[in-house]
Amino acid sequence: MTFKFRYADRIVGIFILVALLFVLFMLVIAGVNRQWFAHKYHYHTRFTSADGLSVGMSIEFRGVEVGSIKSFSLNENNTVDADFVIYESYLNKLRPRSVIELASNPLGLGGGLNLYPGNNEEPPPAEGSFIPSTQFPEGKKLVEDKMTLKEEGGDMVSELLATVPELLTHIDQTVVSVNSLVMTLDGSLQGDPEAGPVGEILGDAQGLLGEADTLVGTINSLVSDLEQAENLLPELVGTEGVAGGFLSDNSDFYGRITGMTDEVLVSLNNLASLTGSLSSFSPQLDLILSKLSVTLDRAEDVMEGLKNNPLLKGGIEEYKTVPSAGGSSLRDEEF
Amino acid sequence: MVTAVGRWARLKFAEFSEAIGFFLFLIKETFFFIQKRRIGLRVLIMQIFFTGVEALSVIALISLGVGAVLIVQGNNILPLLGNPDLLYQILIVVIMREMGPLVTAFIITARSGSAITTELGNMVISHEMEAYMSVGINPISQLGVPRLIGVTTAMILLNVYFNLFGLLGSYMVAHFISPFPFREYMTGLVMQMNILDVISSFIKSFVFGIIIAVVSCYHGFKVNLAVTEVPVRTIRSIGTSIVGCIIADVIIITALR
Repeated sequence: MTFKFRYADRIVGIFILVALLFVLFMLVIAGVNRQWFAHKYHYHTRFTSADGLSVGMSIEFRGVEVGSIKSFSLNENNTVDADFVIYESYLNKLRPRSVIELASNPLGLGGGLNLYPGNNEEPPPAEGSFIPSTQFPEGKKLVEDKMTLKEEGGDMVSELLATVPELLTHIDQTVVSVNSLVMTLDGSLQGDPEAGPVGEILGDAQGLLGEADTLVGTINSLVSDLEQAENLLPELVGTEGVAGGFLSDNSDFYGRITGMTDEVLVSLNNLASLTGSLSSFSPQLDLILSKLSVTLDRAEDVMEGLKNNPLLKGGIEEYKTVPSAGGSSLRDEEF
Repeated sequence: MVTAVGRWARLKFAEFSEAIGFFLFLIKETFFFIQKRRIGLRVLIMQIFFTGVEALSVIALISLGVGAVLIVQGNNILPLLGNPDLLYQILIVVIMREMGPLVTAFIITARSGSAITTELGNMVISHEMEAYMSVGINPISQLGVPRLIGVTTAMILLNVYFNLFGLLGSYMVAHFISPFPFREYMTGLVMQMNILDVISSFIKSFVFGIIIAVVSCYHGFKVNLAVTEVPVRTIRSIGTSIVGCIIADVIIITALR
């Protein structure tokens, strides 16, 4: 304890110095890595919108930070002017006809600014020069003409987005095809003879319609014939017809039918009484049958016992046919 | 009822006004500290010694543990989420911006804040304050200002040590468990570090140091006569300091967002 108090000043001094050295060390490391002390070259560019843009945002080339955004503002033409710096160590990457791309990620997973150097070996443009962005035709044309070192490929989202223009072109061609088809159909419907197969189909359809007209006429004539057949019905049902004859025979025909039905009724009554008596006998029949079944079972047992009796084994002879006493007739003999 | 509420409000307002007056006086006297350093410098050195150097072991242990756990768990989990670089961001936010200042403030409150209140309270009871005043020395200037500067300085330095052990020391601990290159670790850490993180950390530790020192001194000087007042004031001092630090933390986070 005495040692601590005696050297308290030195201990506190060391305590403060070590902390300051650590802060200094971190600042130096951060400064070196983040190019705080390096000379920076200022340039400016232009974007259609500041969406995804922020001050201090890093500018990268192939994943390496080569610069950063210093400021941006809205100009009179309602586009965004942005000032950026390129670090001294990467200034040779910025060549004439370089472009800046503001990559925005539609999934909200970041994005960033990319530098695509010009595809040439010329010295860097003068400080303060304008570097076009890919959001304007000037930058787009440089990329399309392969004037920049824009690498192909990348992440899946970028690749998908890259296919969007091609897809849109295909959709455009499809729309044009559909448009021409609609025009052809329109011409066919208007009776254009040069409308191709559709016109032929429509011609055939017209022939079919003529045939359908003929068919309808035939059906009409048939219907009129049927109307004439309606006259047969009064002849059949009228007082002079068949039905009239049946009704005007002083119920003779009706009497016969009634007699027949009476006989049928008597037969049915007899059948009913027969079935009734059979049903009254059925309990007795059941009893007799059950007794017969018991008797047969017992007879089977007796036969079993007789069969197994050793004294009776082989005791019963087989039946033999006995010839008749009168002799054979001549008629029975064969010739 | 109304009279009681009115009395309570009047007393609270008077107490608050007194605390504000004490704080402003302490701040004013701090600016004159250099002129009076012949007496106060020794008190300042000892305050930094007690508050900073003696709390270093506790701070180192906590920050090493927190940092090592973050690195080991981050190295295991974050690559599965497809963003291993998030580890550096988490380390900076947790250790440098949020936990470092706050944990350090809690430790200083528990160790030194309570000690300051107890010491000053006992000095009041033993009439040492009257002795200072009898020879024309303002006890607040003589005893309060070195403690304010000492606690604030120690708080800032301890926060730096928390970062040192939390960011570098924990790497060494984690390196034994799952080795990975130091250069890669440092580059990733520095590239993710923002100047706002450093400023935020320093501002927080500075403000927390002032809050702890002022609250502790105020409650120490508020002791009147009885010895039993000392533990009561110490408990209130710790509670007020912690609440003050948390409120200040929220305000600073909101301001620097």
